[in-house]
Amino acid sequence: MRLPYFQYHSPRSLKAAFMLLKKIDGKGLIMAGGTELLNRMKFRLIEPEHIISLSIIKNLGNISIRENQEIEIGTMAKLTDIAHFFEEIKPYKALHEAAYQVASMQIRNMATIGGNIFQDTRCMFYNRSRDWQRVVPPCHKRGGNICHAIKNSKRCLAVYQGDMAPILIALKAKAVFYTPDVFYEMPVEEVFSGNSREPFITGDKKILTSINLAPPERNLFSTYRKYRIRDGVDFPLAGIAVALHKDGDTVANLRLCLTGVAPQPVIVRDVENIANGTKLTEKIIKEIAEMAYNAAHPVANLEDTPDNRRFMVRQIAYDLLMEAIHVSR
Amino acid sequence: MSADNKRGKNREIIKLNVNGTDYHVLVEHRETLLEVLREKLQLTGTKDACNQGECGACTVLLDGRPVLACLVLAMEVRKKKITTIEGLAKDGGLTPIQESFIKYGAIQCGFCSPGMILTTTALLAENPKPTRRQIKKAIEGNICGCTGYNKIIEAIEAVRDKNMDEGS
Ligand SMILES: Cc1cc2nc3c(=O)[nH]c(=O)nc-3n(C[C@H](O)[C@H](O)[C@H](O)COP(=O)(O)OP(=O)(O)OC[C@H]3O[C@@H](n4cnc5c(N)ncnc54)[C@H](O)[C@@H]3O)c2cc1C
Ligand code: FES
Ligand code: FES
Repeated sequence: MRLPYFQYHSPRSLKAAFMLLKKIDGKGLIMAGGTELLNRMKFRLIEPEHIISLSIIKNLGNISIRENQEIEIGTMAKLTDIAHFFEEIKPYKALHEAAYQVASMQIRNMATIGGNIFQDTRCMFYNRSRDWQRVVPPCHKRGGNICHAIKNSKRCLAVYQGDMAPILIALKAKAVFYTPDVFYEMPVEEVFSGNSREPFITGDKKILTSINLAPPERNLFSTYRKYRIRDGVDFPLAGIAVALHKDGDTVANLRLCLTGVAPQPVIVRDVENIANGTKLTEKIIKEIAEMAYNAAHPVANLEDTPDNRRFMVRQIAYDLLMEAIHVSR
Repeated sequence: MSADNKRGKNREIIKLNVNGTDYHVLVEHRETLLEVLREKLQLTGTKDACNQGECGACTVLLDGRPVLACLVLAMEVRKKKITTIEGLAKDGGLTPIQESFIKYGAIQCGFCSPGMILTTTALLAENPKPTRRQIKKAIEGNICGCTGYNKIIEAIEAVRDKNMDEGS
């Protein structure tokens, strides 16, 4: 599979990259590690005329602890390095777990956090070969007006399967973007549009520079687990991120976020109303697992049935929270 | 096809350092490292199988770290040290990992072997005493259709055990 023709650029600064992106006006895309982008191009799902690589811009791949103890993950930080860095920072251990479960060692050595967040939504009727595309009528995401997963669906139902965004959202991380005047930030969950065809409100014209995390707190426990057929390489068919703040032995705050079940990561709403201030008994955990189950609405467009994926959401939520009360004690 | 024909074929002469040798190569911007290694440098030890990041047959080392040559543009690796399977043997002598793969029957058709051996080389360089679990995790991205993996894991463990005996 050859890539389509394009012009490659490797600007030396964020400013140069930004200006270039502006100049080519929608005809090009940013490339980080390329592990997601190049595959979509090989399948001719997209054919940008320009590729703007961020690879030689200095300091974009650093992971650093600031004076105020905030942690800044540069957008070009490799998942291998993220997995390594957070292994020893216990409150943020979930970042180690999530990064370590993405794809394979080779891909983690190339893949970046920015690229991981901004990966496109996926569907087994969309991420297909050119031969398939020739014989199967185009769906919403390919510019047509049908959906192969749910007949009659008026909209695209492709799924967001990123592994890093859910835990970043559970941890209330901030995404920082570049403009020549200011760097501006927004909560990670706000970059998602909820629309499978155009999954990000930031479109193709924004450059993420870093992800910022609050200083790690000792009373924070975080964890991430994904459901997949093979224990390696596979994308999540469902994934659950948990961030649990404790106050002594009661819950100060609990946040759950799902991936692989909708066009965007799904925050399980209202768990804090049930969990906060309690000791998180098994009864409450069962209730929360049920809420996670109800928040997940997968459809038949990935490698396992919606029923199984939803069931796994409930099971993993239960398992993670049961483990959490033991570990965080 | 339409877009392919209309667009200019952007080409450039770049310098690539492969197995310690500098090569000046004329590459198209769209060419992957895999295409350049196999078609322009005739280094066909790096295999082209799935061409979409799934199988690890195209694994090479970039500054010592395993990556997939099918998912990296040649333009991106101009300043890096690239190691392919051809670069491992020194003066005609195989590395202990290569010897072990042969001894333990970890090579059948051999298609996965270059990638598998490079991944293993990087693993053992970073962690000379990996557990069985760590070995399995490291080779998760290298698909082998022949051996059933056990022989491969045994071959790697044999090198590890030798490392341990030698106290390295
Ligand atoms: C075999 C295989 C298995 C995989 N398994 C998983 C998995 O289990 N879990 C998972 O989450 N992913 C998986 N992936 C997808 C992908 O490898 C990862 O998501 C990876 O983290 C993408 O990062 P990248 O740097 O390679 O992104 P790229 O491919 O470079 O970019 C991805 C997208 O992000 C945009 N982008 C990148 N950087 C920026 C930036 N700074 N600002 C704005 N936009 C930006 C690009 O324009 C592009 O649209 C898999 C891929 C393959 C090939
Ligand atoms: S050929 Fe590159 S991973 Fe299969
Ligand atoms: S030996 Fe044939 S694929 Fe591994």
